[in-house]
Amino acid sequence: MKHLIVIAFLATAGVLGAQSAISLAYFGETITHPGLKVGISFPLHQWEQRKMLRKGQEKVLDKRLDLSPQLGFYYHQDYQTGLFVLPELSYIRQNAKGNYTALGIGAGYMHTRVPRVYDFDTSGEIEQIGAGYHYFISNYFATFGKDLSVNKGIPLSIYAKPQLMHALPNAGKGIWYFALELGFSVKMSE
Amino acid sequence: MLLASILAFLLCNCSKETFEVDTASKTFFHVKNGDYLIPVLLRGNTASKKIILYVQGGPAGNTLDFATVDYPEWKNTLEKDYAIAYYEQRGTGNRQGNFDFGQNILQTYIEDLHKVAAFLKKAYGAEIIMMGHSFGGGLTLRYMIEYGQSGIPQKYIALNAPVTTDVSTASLRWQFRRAFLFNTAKLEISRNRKVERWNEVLKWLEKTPVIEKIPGDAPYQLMQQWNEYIEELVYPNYAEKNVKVRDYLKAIFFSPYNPIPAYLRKDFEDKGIGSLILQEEEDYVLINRLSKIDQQAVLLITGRYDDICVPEELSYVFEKIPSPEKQIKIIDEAGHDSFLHQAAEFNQILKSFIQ
Repeated sequence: MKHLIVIAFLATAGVLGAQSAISLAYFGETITHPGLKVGISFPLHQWEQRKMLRKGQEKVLDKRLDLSPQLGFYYHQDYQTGLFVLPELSYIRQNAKGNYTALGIGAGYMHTRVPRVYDFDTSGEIEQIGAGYHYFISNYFATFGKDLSVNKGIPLSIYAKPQLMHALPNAGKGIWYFALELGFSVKMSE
Repeated sequence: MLLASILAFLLCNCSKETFEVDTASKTFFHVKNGDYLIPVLLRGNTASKKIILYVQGGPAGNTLDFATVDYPEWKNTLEKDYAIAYYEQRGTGNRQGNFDFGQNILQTYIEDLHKVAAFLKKAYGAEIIMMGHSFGGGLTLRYMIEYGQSGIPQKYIALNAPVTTDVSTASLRWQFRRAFLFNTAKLEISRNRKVERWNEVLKWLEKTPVIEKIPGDAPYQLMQQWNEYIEELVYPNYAEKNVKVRDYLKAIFFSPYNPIPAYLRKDFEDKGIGSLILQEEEDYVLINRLSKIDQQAVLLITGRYDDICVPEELSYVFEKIPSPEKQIKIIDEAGHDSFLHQAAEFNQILKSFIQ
Protein backbone atom coordinates (compact mmCIF):
# COMPACT_ATOMS: atom_id res chain seq x y z
CA MET A 1 0.00 0.00 0.00
CA LYS A 2 2.80 2.42 0.85
CA HIS A 3 4.29 1.95 -2.62
CA LEU A 4 0.92 2.60 -4.20
CA ILE A 5 0.56 5.94 -2.42
CA VAL A 6 4.06 7.11 -3.33
CA ILE A 7 3.64 6.03 -6.95
CA ALA A 8 0.27 7.75 -7.21
CA PHE A 9 1.71 10.96 -5.82
CA LEU A 10 4.79 10.98 -8.02
CA ALA A 11 2.84 9.97 -11.11
CA THR A 12 0.42 12.84 -10.64
CA ALA A 13 3.33 15.23 -10.30
CA GLY A 14 5.22 13.73 -13.25
CA VAL A 15 2.36 13.85 -15.68
CA LEU A 16 1.86 17.52 -15.10
CA GLY A 17 5.39 18.45 -15.99
CA ALA A 18 7.10 21.62 -14.79
CA GLN A 19 6.61 22.53 -11.16
CA SER A 20 5.07 25.80 -10.27
CA ALA A 21 5.16 25.86 -6.48
CA ILE A 22 5.95 23.53 -3.64
CA SER A 23 4.02 23.88 -0.40
CA LEU A 24 4.65 22.75 3.12
CA ALA A 25 2.08 23.15 5.86
CA TYR A 26 1.20 22.30 9.39
CA PHE A 27 -1.92 20.18 9.12
CA GLY A 28 -3.92 20.29 12.35
CA GLU A 29 -6.80 17.84 12.55
CA THR A 30 -9.30 19.64 14.81
CA ILE A 31 -6.54 22.30 14.77
CA THR A 32 -4.58 20.83 17.69
CA HIS A 33 -3.73 17.32 16.51
CA PRO A 34 -0.56 17.83 14.52
CA GLY A 35 0.41 16.73 11.07
CA LEU A 36 2.21 17.83 7.96
CA LYS A 37 1.12 18.29 4.39
CA VAL A 38 3.32 18.77 1.35
CA GLY A 39 2.18 19.48 -2.13
CA ILE A 40 3.06 20.66 -5.59
CA SER A 41 0.75 23.02 -7.38
CA PHE A 42 0.44 23.64 -11.10
CA PRO A 43 -1.56 26.37 -12.73
CA LEU A 44 -3.99 24.80 -15.18
CA HIS A 45 -5.43 28.06 -16.42
CA GLN A 46 -4.67 31.75 -15.67
CA TRP A 47 -6.44 34.92 -16.64
CA GLU A 48 -6.70 38.54 -15.61
CA GLN A 49 -9.85 40.41 -14.74
CA ARG A 50 -10.05 44.20 -14.77
CA LYS A 51 -12.75 46.14 -12.97
CA MET A 52 -13.42 49.88 -12.97
CA LEU A 53 -14.05 51.25 -9.50
CA ARG A 54 -16.37 54.22 -8.78
CA LYS A 55 -13.43 56.53 -8.20
CA GLY A 56 -12.27 55.86 -11.74
CA GLN A 57 -9.46 53.59 -10.63
CA GLU A 58 -8.92 50.24 -12.24
CA LYS A 59 -8.79 47.12 -10.11
CA VAL A 60 -6.82 44.22 -11.51
CA LEU A 61 -7.43 40.69 -10.27
CA ASP A 62 -5.27 37.73 -11.20
CA LYS A 63 -7.26 34.55 -11.35
CA ARG A 64 -6.17 31.00 -11.87
CA LEU A 65 -7.12 27.40 -11.53
CA ASP A 66 -4.52 25.23 -9.79
CA LEU A 67 -4.13 21.50 -9.51
CA SER A 68 -2.19 20.40 -6.43
CA PRO A 69 -1.34 16.81 -5.57
CA GLN A 70 -0.91 16.73 -1.80
CA LEU A 71 0.54 14.20 0.61
CA GLY A 72 0.02 14.47 4.32
CA PHE A 73 -0.53 12.90 7.68
CA TYR A 74 -1.85 13.79 11.12
CA TYR A 75 -1.50 12.24 14.53
CA HIS A 76 -4.46 12.31 16.89
CA GLN A 77 -3.37 10.66 20.11
CA ASP A 78 -5.56 7.76 21.24
CA TYR A 79 -7.80 8.14 18.18
CA GLN A 80 -5.97 7.51 14.94
CA THR A 81 -3.10 8.45 12.71
CA GLY A 82 -4.10 9.26 9.16
CA LEU A 83 -1.97 9.28 6.05
CA PHE A 84 -3.45 10.61 2.85
CA VAL A 85 -2.77 11.46 -0.74
CA LEU A 86 -5.12 14.13 -1.93
CA PRO A 87 -5.10 15.91 -5.29
CA GLU A 88 -6.82 19.28 -4.92
CA LEU A 89 -8.34 21.72 -7.37
CA SER A 90 -8.39 25.39 -6.38
CA TYR A 91 -9.92 28.51 -7.86
CA ILE A 92 -7.68 31.42 -6.80
CA ARG A 93 -8.34 35.13 -6.88
CA GLN A 94 -5.40 37.44 -6.13
CA ASN A 95 -5.39 41.24 -5.94
CA ALA A 96 -2.65 43.70 -6.83
CA LYS A 97 -1.27 43.68 -3.28
CA GLY A 98 -0.70 39.93 -3.42
CA ASN A 99 -3.54 39.04 -1.09
CA TYR A 100 -5.44 36.05 -2.32
CA THR A 101 -8.37 33.84 -1.48
CA ALA A 102 -9.18 30.46 -2.90
CA LEU A 103 -11.96 27.94 -2.84
CA GLY A 104 -11.36 24.33 -3.67
CA ILE A 105 -12.10 20.67 -3.46
CA GLY A 106 -10.02 17.54 -3.38
CA ALA A 107 -10.50 13.81 -3.65
CA GLY A 108 -8.09 11.06 -2.71
CA TYR A 109 -7.22 8.17 -0.46
CA MET A 110 -6.53 7.92 3.26
CA HIS A 111 -5.33 5.10 5.43
CA THR A 112 -5.74 5.29 9.18
CA ARG A 113 -4.10 3.37 11.96
CA VAL A 114 -5.86 2.96 15.28
CA PRO A 115 -3.50 2.82 18.27
CA ARG A 116 -3.25 0.03 20.83
CA VAL A 117 -5.91 -2.44 19.72
CA TYR A 118 -6.22 -5.70 21.63
CA ASP A 119 -8.08 -8.94 21.18
CA PHE A 120 -7.88 -12.48 22.50
CA ASP A 121 -6.05 -15.03 20.39
CA THR A 122 -7.36 -18.56 19.85
CA SER A 123 -5.79 -19.74 23.10
CA GLY A 124 -7.49 -16.95 25.05
CA GLU A 125 -4.35 -14.88 25.52
CA ILE A 126 -4.32 -11.16 24.86
CA GLU A 127 -2.59 -10.00 21.73
CA GLN A 128 -2.01 -6.57 20.28
CA ILE A 129 -3.22 -6.37 16.71
CA GLY A 130 -2.77 -3.85 13.92
CA ALA A 131 -5.99 -2.09 12.99
CA GLY A 132 -6.84 0.63 10.54
CA TYR A 133 -9.17 1.58 7.75
CA HIS A 134 -8.97 2.49 4.07
CA TYR A 135 -10.98 5.51 3.06
CA PHE A 136 -11.93 7.46 0.00
CA ILE A 137 -11.64 11.07 1.12
CA SER A 138 -12.79 14.38 -0.20
CA ASN A 139 -12.09 17.81 1.19
CA TYR A 140 -13.66 21.24 0.84
CA PHE A 141 -11.59 24.26 1.67
CA ALA A 142 -11.09 27.98 1.60
CA THR A 143 -7.62 29.52 1.54
CA PHE A 144 -6.56 32.95 2.72
CA GLY A 145 -3.04 33.88 1.75
CA LYS A 146 -0.50 36.48 0.76
CA ASP A 147 1.91 36.28 -2.13
CA LEU A 148 5.10 37.93 -0.85
CA SER A 149 6.62 38.12 -4.33
CA VAL A 150 4.24 40.95 -5.28
CA ASN A 151 5.53 43.71 -3.02
CA LYS A 152 8.57 42.23 -1.35
CA GLY A 153 10.06 40.23 -4.18
CA ILE A 154 10.25 37.07 -2.09
CA PRO A 155 9.10 34.02 -4.10
CA LEU A 156 6.97 32.81 -1.23
CA SER A 157 3.32 32.71 -0.28
CA ILE A 158 1.92 32.16 3.19
CA TYR A 159 -1.56 30.88 3.78
CA ALA A 160 -4.20 29.59 6.18
CA LYS A 161 -6.57 26.94 4.88
CA PRO A 162 -9.51 25.78 6.99
CA GLN A 163 -11.19 22.72 5.59
CA LEU A 164 -13.69 19.95 6.07
CA MET A 165 -12.65 16.47 5.11
CA HIS A 166 -15.02 13.57 4.59
CA ALA A 167 -13.97 9.91 4.73
CA LEU A 168 -15.92 6.96 3.31
CA PRO A 169 -16.87 4.19 3.84
CA ASN A 170 -17.63 4.24 7.54
CA ALA A 171 -20.64 3.23 9.58
CA GLY A 172 -23.31 5.82 9.03
CA LYS A 173 -22.55 8.33 6.33
CA GLY A 174 -18.82 8.55 6.73
CA ILE A 175 -16.64 10.56 9.07
CA TRP A 176 -16.21 14.32 8.87
CA TYR A 177 -13.05 16.02 10.06
CA PHE A 178 -12.24 19.66 10.53
CA ALA A 179 -8.64 20.61 9.86
CA LEU A 180 -6.62 23.76 9.67
CA GLU A 181 -3.60 24.08 7.42
CA LEU A 182 -1.03 26.81 8.04
CA GLY A 183 1.74 26.85 5.51
CA PHE A 184 3.85 28.43 2.88
CA SER A 185 4.57 27.71 -0.74
CA VAL A 186 7.69 28.47 -2.70
CA LYS A 187 7.50 29.34 -6.38
CA MET A 188 9.72 27.09 -8.44
CA SER A 189 9.21 28.67 -11.84
CA GLU A 190 7.43 31.65 -13.35
CA MET B 1 13.31 10.66 3.49
CA LEU B 2 11.22 11.85 6.41
CA LEU B 3 8.04 11.17 4.53
CA ALA B 4 9.28 7.78 3.43
CA SER B 5 9.94 6.91 7.08
CA ILE B 6 6.50 8.08 8.09
CA LEU B 7 4.96 6.05 5.29
CA ALA B 8 6.80 2.94 6.36
CA PHE B 9 5.76 3.47 9.97
CA LEU B 10 2.14 4.08 9.22
CA LEU B 11 1.54 1.40 6.66
CA CYS B 12 3.59 -1.50 7.91
CA ASN B 13 1.76 -4.65 8.87
CA CYS B 14 2.68 -4.71 12.52
CA SER B 15 3.34 -8.14 13.87
CA LYS B 16 1.21 -9.39 16.73
CA GLU B 17 2.51 -8.48 20.14
CA THR B 18 1.63 -9.67 23.59
CA PHE B 19 -0.06 -7.33 26.03
CA GLU B 20 2.03 -5.58 28.63
CA VAL B 21 0.26 -4.06 31.59
CA ASP B 22 0.62 -0.30 31.63
CA THR B 23 0.70 0.69 35.27
CA ALA B 24 0.42 4.41 34.52
CA SER B 25 -2.45 6.17 36.23
CA LYS B 26 -4.02 6.78 32.84
CA THR B 27 -3.92 4.50 29.86
CA PHE B 28 -5.93 4.31 26.68
CA PHE B 29 -6.53 1.40 24.34
CA HIS B 30 -9.11 -0.29 22.11
CA VAL B 31 -10.65 -3.71 22.62
CA LYS B 32 -11.77 -5.44 19.46
CA ASN B 33 -15.12 -7.15 19.53
CA GLY B 34 -15.97 -8.54 16.10
CA ASP B 35 -16.14 -5.63 13.71
CA TYR B 36 -15.91 -2.91 16.34
CA LEU B 37 -12.99 -1.30 18.13
CA ILE B 38 -14.17 -0.28 21.59
CA PRO B 39 -12.24 2.72 22.98
CA VAL B 40 -11.37 2.32 26.65
CA LEU B 41 -9.83 4.86 29.01
CA LEU B 42 -8.52 3.31 32.21
CA ARG B 43 -7.63 5.79 34.90
CA GLY B 44 -6.84 5.68 38.57
CA ASN B 45 -5.32 3.22 40.96
CA THR B 46 -4.69 0.06 38.94
CA ALA B 47 -2.48 -1.28 41.75
CA SER B 48 -5.65 -1.73 43.82
CA LYS B 49 -6.54 -4.64 41.52
CA LYS B 50 -10.10 -3.42 41.53
CA ILE B 51 -11.48 -1.90 38.35
CA ILE B 52 -14.85 -0.20 38.22
CA LEU B 53 -16.20 -0.63 34.69
CA TYR B 54 -18.41 2.41 34.16
CA VAL B 55 -21.43 2.00 31.88
CA GLN B 56 -22.66 5.31 30.52
CA GLY B 57 -26.25 6.49 30.50
CA GLY B 58 -28.11 8.08 27.62
CA PRO B 59 -29.03 5.96 25.77
CA ALA B 60 -25.78 6.24 23.95
CA GLY B 61 -24.20 9.18 25.72
CA ASN B 62 -20.53 9.80 25.00
CA THR B 63 -18.20 8.58 27.72
CA LEU B 64 -14.65 9.67 26.98
CA ASP B 65 -15.45 13.36 27.32
CA PHE B 66 -17.35 12.55 30.53
CA ALA B 67 -14.04 11.18 31.82
CA THR B 68 -11.83 13.80 30.16
CA VAL B 69 -13.58 16.72 31.84
CA ASP B 70 -14.05 14.63 34.99
CA TYR B 71 -17.79 15.31 35.02
CA PRO B 72 -18.45 12.88 37.93
CA GLU B 73 -15.46 14.30 39.90
CA TRP B 74 -14.03 10.87 40.63
CA LYS B 75 -10.48 11.70 39.55
CA ASN B 76 -9.49 12.87 43.01
CA THR B 77 -11.83 10.64 44.97
CA LEU B 78 -12.77 7.14 43.76
CA GLU B 79 -9.86 6.95 41.34
CA LYS B 80 -7.43 7.29 44.23
CA ASP B 81 -8.71 3.98 45.59
CA TYR B 82 -9.70 2.13 42.43
CA ALA B 83 -9.17 2.26 38.72
CA ILE B 84 -12.17 3.25 36.64
CA ALA B 85 -12.57 2.04 33.05
CA TYR B 86 -14.59 4.40 30.88
CA TYR B 87 -15.56 2.76 27.60
CA GLU B 88 -17.43 4.11 24.62
CA GLN B 89 -20.61 2.27 23.70
CA ARG B 90 -20.93 1.10 20.11
CA GLY B 91 -21.91 3.87 17.74
CA THR B 92 -21.08 6.70 20.12
CA GLY B 93 -18.04 8.97 20.32
CA ASN B 94 -15.53 8.51 17.53
CA ARG B 95 -17.00 5.24 16.14
CA GLN B 96 -14.45 4.19 13.55
CA GLY B 97 -14.87 1.74 10.71
CA ASN B 98 -17.75 -0.16 9.23
CA PHE B 99 -19.52 -1.91 12.05
CA ASP B 100 -22.92 -3.35 12.66
CA PHE B 101 -25.28 -2.98 15.60
CA GLY B 102 -26.44 -6.59 15.24
CA GLN B 103 -29.98 -7.94 15.26
CA ASN B 104 -30.57 -6.59 18.73
CA ILE B 105 -28.67 -3.46 19.70
CA LEU B 106 -28.88 -3.95 23.45
CA GLN B 107 -27.72 -7.56 23.12
CA THR B 108 -24.74 -6.28 21.11
CA TYR B 109 -24.14 -3.65 23.79
CA ILE B 110 -23.91 -6.22 26.55
CA GLU B 111 -21.67 -8.43 24.40
CA ASP B 112 -19.32 -5.45 24.01
CA LEU B 113 -19.51 -4.90 27.74
CA HIS B 114 -18.69 -8.55 28.37
CA LYS B 115 -15.67 -8.34 26.09
CA VAL B 116 -14.33 -5.22 27.81
CA ALA B 117 -14.88 -6.79 31.25
CA ALA B 118 -13.13 -10.00 30.16
CA PHE B 119 -10.23 -8.02 28.74
CA LEU B 120 -9.76 -5.91 31.87
CA LYS B 121 -9.89 -8.94 34.12
CA LYS B 122 -7.35 -10.84 32.05
CA ALA B 123 -5.03 -7.91 31.36
CA TYR B 124 -4.88 -6.52 34.87
CA GLY B 125 -5.70 -9.59 36.95
CA ALA B 126 -8.24 -7.36 38.64
CA GLU B 127 -11.61 -7.75 40.25
CA ILE B 128 -14.21 -6.11 38.03
CA ILE B 129 -17.07 -4.08 39.46
CA MET B 130 -19.62 -3.11 36.83
CA MET B 131 -21.30 0.21 37.57
CA GLY B 132 -23.93 1.69 35.28
CA HIS B 133 -25.71 4.99 35.56
CA SER B 134 -29.28 5.59 34.38
CA PHE B 135 -29.64 3.81 31.00
CA GLY B 136 -26.25 2.24 31.78
CA GLY B 137 -27.66 0.94 35.05
CA GLY B 138 -30.45 -0.76 33.11
CA LEU B 139 -27.82 -2.23 30.81
CA THR B 140 -25.93 -3.50 33.87
CA LEU B 141 -29.06 -5.25 35.19
CA ARG B 142 -29.66 -6.70 31.73
CA TYR B 143 -26.09 -8.00 31.67
CA MET B 144 -26.67 -9.68 35.04
CA ILE B 145 -29.86 -11.30 33.77
CA GLU B 146 -28.36 -12.51 30.49
CA TYR B 147 -24.97 -13.68 31.74
CA GLY B 148 -25.99 -14.87 35.20
CA GLN B 149 -23.16 -16.64 36.97
CA SER B 150 -20.97 -16.57 33.85
CA GLY B 151 -20.77 -12.77 34.06
CA ILE B 152 -17.24 -11.44 34.49
CA PRO B 153 -17.74 -8.87 37.30
CA GLN B 154 -17.81 -9.94 40.90
CA LYS B 155 -20.02 -7.05 41.92
CA TYR B 156 -22.57 -4.83 40.23
CA ILE B 157 -23.83 -1.34 40.95
CA ALA B 158 -26.91 0.19 39.30
CA LEU B 159 -26.99 3.95 39.82
CA ASN B 160 -30.21 5.90 39.34
CA ALA B 161 -31.37 3.24 36.88
CA PRO B 162 -35.05 3.29 35.93
CA VAL B 163 -36.47 -0.12 35.07
CA THR B 164 -40.00 0.70 33.94
CA THR B 165 -40.71 2.10 30.49
CA ASP B 166 -43.16 4.51 28.91
CA VAL B 167 -45.37 1.98 27.13
CA SER B 168 -45.21 -1.68 28.16
CA THR B 169 -44.88 -0.94 31.88
CA ALA B 170 -46.35 2.55 31.86
CA SER B 171 -49.03 1.93 34.46
CA LEU B 172 -46.44 0.69 36.96
CA ARG B 173 -44.15 3.60 36.08
CA TRP B 174 -46.85 6.17 36.77
CA GLN B 175 -47.93 4.41 39.93
CA PHE B 176 -44.36 4.83 41.22
CA ARG B 177 -44.18 8.41 40.00
CA ARG B 178 -47.42 9.36 41.68
CA ALA B 179 -46.17 7.83 44.92
CA PHE B 180 -42.89 9.72 44.47
CA LEU B 181 -44.69 13.04 44.11
CA PHE B 182 -46.87 12.31 47.13
CA ASN B 183 -43.95 11.23 49.35
CA THR B 184 -41.85 14.17 48.18
CA ALA B 185 -44.69 16.59 48.97
CA LYS B 186 -44.97 15.18 52.50
CA LEU B 187 -41.22 15.32 52.98
CA GLU B 188 -40.88 18.85 51.70
CA ILE B 189 -43.74 20.08 53.86
CA SER B 190 -42.09 18.43 56.89
CA ARG B 191 -38.91 20.28 55.95
CA ASN B 192 -40.83 23.51 55.65
CA ARG B 193 -39.89 24.10 52.02
CA LYS B 194 -42.40 25.72 49.62
CA VAL B 195 -45.23 24.48 51.82
CA GLU B 196 -47.98 26.33 49.98
CA ARG B 197 -47.05 24.93 46.58
CA TRP B 198 -46.59 21.42 47.93
CA ASN B 199 -50.04 21.55 49.56
CA GLU B 200 -51.44 22.38 46.13
CA VAL B 201 -49.63 19.30 44.80
CA LEU B 202 -51.25 17.17 47.51
CA LYS B 203 -54.68 18.52 46.57
CA TRP B 204 -54.03 17.67 42.90
CA LEU B 205 -52.95 14.16 43.88
CA GLU B 206 -56.08 13.75 45.96
CA LYS B 207 -58.15 14.53 42.88
CA THR B 208 -55.91 12.30 40.75
CA PRO B 209 -55.76 8.82 42.21
CA VAL B 210 -54.27 7.42 39.00
CA ILE B 211 -51.93 9.13 36.56
CA GLU B 212 -52.69 7.70 33.16
CA LYS B 213 -53.56 8.51 29.59
CA ILE B 214 -57.09 9.91 29.42
CA PRO B 215 -59.60 10.14 26.59
CA GLY B 216 -60.06 13.46 24.80
CA ASP B 217 -57.95 16.09 23.11
CA ALA B 218 -55.19 16.11 25.70
CA PRO B 219 -54.60 12.47 26.65
CA TYR B 220 -51.27 13.16 28.38
CA GLN B 221 -52.40 16.10 30.53
CA LEU B 222 -52.01 14.24 33.84
CA MET B 223 -48.45 13.21 32.97
CA GLN B 224 -47.74 16.75 31.83
CA GLN B 225 -49.02 18.15 35.12
CA TRP B 226 -46.76 15.74 37.02
CA ASN B 227 -43.83 16.90 34.88
CA GLU B 228 -44.67 20.54 35.54
CA TYR B 229 -44.62 20.02 39.30
CA ILE B 230 -41.31 18.18 39.05
CA GLU B 231 -39.72 20.82 36.83
CA GLU B 232 -40.85 23.60 39.13
CA LEU B 233 -40.35 22.07 42.57
CA VAL B 234 -37.84 19.22 42.35
CA TYR B 235 -35.49 19.29 39.39
CA PRO B 236 -34.04 22.82 39.87
CA ASN B 237 -32.66 21.76 43.26
CA TYR B 238 -30.97 18.65 41.87
CA ALA B 239 -30.04 19.59 38.33
CA GLU B 240 -27.27 18.27 36.12
CA LYS B 241 -23.94 19.97 36.52
CA ASN B 242 -23.17 22.86 34.18
CA VAL B 243 -20.16 22.03 32.07
CA LYS B 244 -17.77 24.96 31.73
CA VAL B 245 -16.65 26.35 28.38
CA ARG B 246 -13.10 25.41 29.38
CA ASP B 247 -14.23 21.77 29.69
CA TYR B 248 -15.88 21.81 26.28
CA LEU B 249 -12.68 23.20 24.77
CA LYS B 250 -10.65 20.51 26.51
CA ALA B 251 -12.92 17.76 25.18
CA ILE B 252 -12.93 19.15 21.65
CA PHE B 253 -9.29 20.05 21.21
CA PHE B 254 -7.32 17.88 23.63
CA SER B 255 -9.20 14.61 24.01
CA PRO B 256 -9.26 11.45 21.88
CA TYR B 257 -12.37 12.86 20.21
CA ASN B 258 -12.89 13.90 16.68
CA PRO B 259 -15.67 16.30 17.68
CA ILE B 260 -17.70 16.08 14.47
CA PRO B 261 -18.77 12.43 14.74
CA ALA B 262 -18.64 12.54 18.53
CA TYR B 263 -21.04 15.42 18.99
CA LEU B 264 -23.19 15.70 15.87
CA ARG B 265 -24.35 12.07 16.07
CA LYS B 266 -26.25 12.57 12.84
CA ASP B 267 -25.74 9.04 11.58
CA PHE B 268 -26.96 7.74 14.93
CA GLU B 269 -30.18 9.67 14.47
CA ASP B 270 -30.49 8.91 10.75
CA LYS B 271 -30.43 5.22 11.48
CA GLY B 272 -32.88 5.71 14.32
CA ILE B 273 -30.60 3.84 16.73
CA GLY B 274 -31.87 5.78 19.75
CA SER B 275 -35.50 4.91 18.91
CA LEU B 276 -34.62 1.27 18.29
CA ILE B 277 -32.94 1.08 21.69
CA LEU B 278 -36.05 2.47 23.38
CA GLN B 279 -38.21 -0.04 21.48
CA GLU B 280 -35.96 -2.90 22.54
CA GLU B 281 -36.27 -1.77 26.15
CA GLU B 282 -40.05 -1.81 25.76
CA ASP B 283 -39.97 -5.33 24.31
CA TYR B 284 -37.56 -6.74 26.89
CA VAL B 285 -39.65 -5.78 29.96
CA LEU B 286 -36.70 -5.93 32.32
CA ILE B 287 -38.86 -5.58 35.42
CA ASN B 288 -40.37 -9.03 34.73
CA ARG B 289 -36.95 -10.69 34.60
CA LEU B 290 -35.44 -9.52 37.86
CA SER B 291 -35.96 -12.94 39.45
CA LYS B 292 -32.96 -14.12 37.41
CA ILE B 293 -30.67 -11.96 39.54
CA ASP B 294 -30.52 -14.62 42.19
CA GLN B 295 -26.85 -14.88 43.16
CA GLN B 296 -24.86 -11.80 42.24
CA ALA B 297 -23.79 -9.05 44.61
CA VAL B 298 -25.69 -5.96 43.51
CA LEU B 299 -26.01 -2.48 44.95
CA LEU B 300 -28.92 -0.28 43.88
CA ILE B 301 -28.56 3.46 44.45
CA THR B 302 -30.78 6.40 43.73
CA GLY B 303 -31.36 9.90 45.02
CA ARG B 304 -34.37 10.65 47.19
CA TYR B 305 -35.28 13.38 44.70
CA ASP B 306 -34.45 11.47 41.51
CA ASP B 307 -37.48 11.96 39.29
CA ILE B 308 -36.16 9.53 36.64
CA CYS B 309 -35.32 6.59 38.86
CA VAL B 310 -37.75 7.34 41.65
CA PRO B 311 -36.92 5.66 44.97
CA GLU B 312 -40.38 4.06 45.09
CA GLU B 313 -39.56 2.20 41.87
CA LEU B 314 -36.11 1.21 43.03
CA SER B 315 -37.52 -0.19 46.27
CA TYR B 316 -39.89 -2.33 44.18
CA VAL B 317 -36.96 -3.51 42.05
CA PHE B 318 -35.03 -4.34 45.20
CA GLU B 319 -37.92 -6.50 46.46
CA LYS B 320 -38.10 -8.35 43.14
CA ILE B 321 -34.41 -9.28 43.12
CA PRO B 322 -33.98 -12.56 44.99
CA SER B 323 -30.19 -12.42 45.40
CA PRO B 324 -29.14 -12.57 49.06
CA GLU B 325 -26.23 -10.29 48.14
CA LYS B 326 -28.40 -7.29 47.27
CA GLN B 327 -28.26 -3.85 48.86
CA ILE B 328 -30.19 -0.64 48.34
CA LYS B 329 -29.29 2.93 49.27
CA ILE B 330 -31.54 5.95 48.85
CA ILE B 331 -29.40 9.06 49.20
CA ASP B 332 -31.18 12.05 50.68
CA GLU B 333 -30.84 15.50 49.10
CA ALA B 334 -29.80 13.96 45.80
CA GLY B 335 -31.35 13.72 42.35
CA HIS B 336 -30.49 11.78 39.19
CA ASP B 337 -26.76 12.58 39.48
CA SER B 338 -26.60 11.27 43.03
CA PHE B 339 -22.81 10.80 42.70
CA LEU B 340 -22.47 14.59 42.41
CA HIS B 341 -25.27 15.86 44.64
CA GLN B 342 -24.01 13.99 47.71
CA ALA B 343 -20.53 13.02 46.58
CA ALA B 344 -19.02 12.19 49.97
CA GLU B 345 -21.91 9.95 51.02
CA PHE B 346 -22.03 8.34 47.60
CA ASN B 347 -18.32 7.54 47.62
CA GLN B 348 -18.54 6.10 51.11
CA ILE B 349 -21.43 3.82 50.10
CA LEU B 350 -19.45 2.61 47.11
CA LYS B 351 -16.31 1.92 49.10
CA SER B 352 -18.25 -0.04 51.71
CA PHE B 353 -19.79 -2.18 48.99
CA ILE B 354 -16.60 -2.74 47.00
CA GLN B 355 -14.34 -3.63 49.95
